[in-house]
Amino acid sequence: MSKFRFKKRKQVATAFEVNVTPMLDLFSVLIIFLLATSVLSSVGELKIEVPFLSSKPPPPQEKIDKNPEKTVSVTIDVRKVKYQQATTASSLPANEFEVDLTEDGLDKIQAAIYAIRKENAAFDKVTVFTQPEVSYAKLVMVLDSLRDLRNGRTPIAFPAGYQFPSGVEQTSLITKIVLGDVLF
Amino acid sequence: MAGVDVGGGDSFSLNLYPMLDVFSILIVFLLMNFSVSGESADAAANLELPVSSVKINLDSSATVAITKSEILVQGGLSIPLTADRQDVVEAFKKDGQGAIRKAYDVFKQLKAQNDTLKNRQKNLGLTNSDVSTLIMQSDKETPYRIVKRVLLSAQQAEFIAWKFGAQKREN
Repeated sequence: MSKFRFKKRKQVATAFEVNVTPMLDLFSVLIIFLLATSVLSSVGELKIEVPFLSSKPPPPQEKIDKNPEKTVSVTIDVRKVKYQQATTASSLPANEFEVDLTEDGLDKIQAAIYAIRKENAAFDKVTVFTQPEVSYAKLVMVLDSLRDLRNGRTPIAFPAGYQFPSGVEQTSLITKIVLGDVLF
Repeated sequence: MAGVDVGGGDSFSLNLYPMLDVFSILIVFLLMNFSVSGESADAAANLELPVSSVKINLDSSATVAITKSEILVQGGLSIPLTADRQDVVEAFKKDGQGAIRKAYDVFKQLKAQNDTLKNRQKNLGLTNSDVSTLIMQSDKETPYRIVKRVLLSAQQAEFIAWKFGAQKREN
């Protein structure tokens, strides 16, 4: 038998509890704050420009013929959308077609603009003309198709040094949309 | 743990842990989705924005709202669009063209304020904020002829850059 005798410790059953009530109070306040301030249905923005009359004289015809540029305009009617593609040089052919104001129709317009971007990555502007009775929703629908790539089309990078207008996604098909008829 | 002595010596204890679990999940979810940068969609009554695939959040600028019943410029000027109110018909009637005088006056004032702000920022050496861009929040059924007249009114006051507000499409 050992000399040393160990005292048998009395086992005291102490229930250890974390006081969660202050935490719960904090959580309640935080939840109310987050629910009250969070924006559940957020609003996005589409950057648009309105033409402004410039007093700058147009470049001479020889210069235009040397560096021809394609210009694209889209005319929105209540049910139809007309695509018009022209070039600043009179020697190059123009392209013009009309589609229904549906997702499929707008896809054809996007395909045509995508082809121009493939050919010239710096192409960035489309002028939109809208008939007076067209609703704002239809206008936004067309603007979406000019900007947001669909049907597996991959973004075409703009040339190095290209200055993106503020508030425009870098993957946009077109970065400058001008509402051409505001002045006319 | 929260407990209540019911008098007879028995302690009635409420189990708060499941509630705490739910709260924790809810807080994590809300913090993940929390956004203070987006503008609220309910900028004006009678305004139902169209849905768009746009991804960029609307920031704060001077706002023009075209609701089902009125044009609100910067939350102040109201131009009614209902035909039974004489002061508004000018903006609404079919043959009405060109800028809307009342709206133009407000845009002109806004332009003067923006110019003052820009000069002050320049004097203080601060970077210019994008004050020359206006926000349009229009009801989805608004005909373009009304939108165009508002755009023209602003254009006359030298505002040529716009941000069209649209409801973000749910992914």
